[in-house]
Amino acid sequence: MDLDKLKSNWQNQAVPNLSLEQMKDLVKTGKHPGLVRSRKVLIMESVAWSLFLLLFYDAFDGHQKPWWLNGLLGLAFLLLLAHHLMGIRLMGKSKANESLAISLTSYRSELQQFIRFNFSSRLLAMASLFLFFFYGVEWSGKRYLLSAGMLGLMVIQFYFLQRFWQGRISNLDQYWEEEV
Amino acid sequence: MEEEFLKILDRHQAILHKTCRLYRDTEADREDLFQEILYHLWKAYPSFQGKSKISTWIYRIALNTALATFRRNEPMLLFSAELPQRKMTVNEEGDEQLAQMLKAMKKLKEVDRAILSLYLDDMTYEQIAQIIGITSSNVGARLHRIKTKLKALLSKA
Repeated sequence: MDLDKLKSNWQNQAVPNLSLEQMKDLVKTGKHPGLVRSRKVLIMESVAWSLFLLLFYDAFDGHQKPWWLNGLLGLAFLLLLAHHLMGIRLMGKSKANESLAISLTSYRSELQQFIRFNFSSRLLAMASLFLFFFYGVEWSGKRYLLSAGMLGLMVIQFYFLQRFWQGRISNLDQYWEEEV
Repeated sequence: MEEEFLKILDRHQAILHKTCRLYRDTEADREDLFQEILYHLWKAYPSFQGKSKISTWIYRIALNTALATFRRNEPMLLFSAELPQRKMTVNEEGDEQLAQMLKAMKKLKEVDRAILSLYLDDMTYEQIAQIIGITSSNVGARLHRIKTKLKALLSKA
């Protein structure tokens, strides 16, 4: 293995060469693709939940349910919004002044907090929806099956969510597996 | 300030492109990462005090961004438009060697790739230690392991 050759290949590799104008445009738009995508999801979920909150009182007989159940739904909506905003903040956080070790350790810790909040807000949202739609109904065989199916779907969703986030944490953990 | 920032970026944009090539496999992901690094550089520029070399500062942000963000899960389409037996020109031979080197580097752990890329860009052990956040002696030890791994990977290619 010729190290000088490797260095030469690395240093002299052909790379795109953006003009000053192109870079100026990129800086001006201030685009962060990850943040753009997250903001779109935030807007879509906010619109969907807002529509639901507007309709649930009449269309889903919210006025016939106890006040605390309506309040719980509202709280779940706010927590979901807060969770998205937390994700956006985490993504846009400055990566400037720290070494990789400090920055990634701090990022891992914040990501874990975000994951805990993610799970609890989703759990509350699902539990609120479940309680809301099944409150006061007369239980029968079919309704038990339906609710068992819904609970099953929730469990599956949480399982995949947990695997997804565990993968991201493991990805960060592998950086410092060896002695540093 | 923007003009000053753009001039600095112009001189060092190769660092961003090389980092994107090392940590992302598709053109779309590389473009995304390039913009994300640019975003963080511009955001951090007002607080840059010149305590470190500008290239060290850029590398630190570029690597931080590459390692802390996640790529989209798109299937990677690999195809070759050329027959392997074709006689190569000098430039293409160089590209082939670069391609093999990058392929081997991508099999290393992401932090090891960072250390190696800094070494290949002729950064000193102290500069590498400052960027990565480990001691200079640790840099030496890790580089020794990385070079051994790289040699094994390149000999298999």
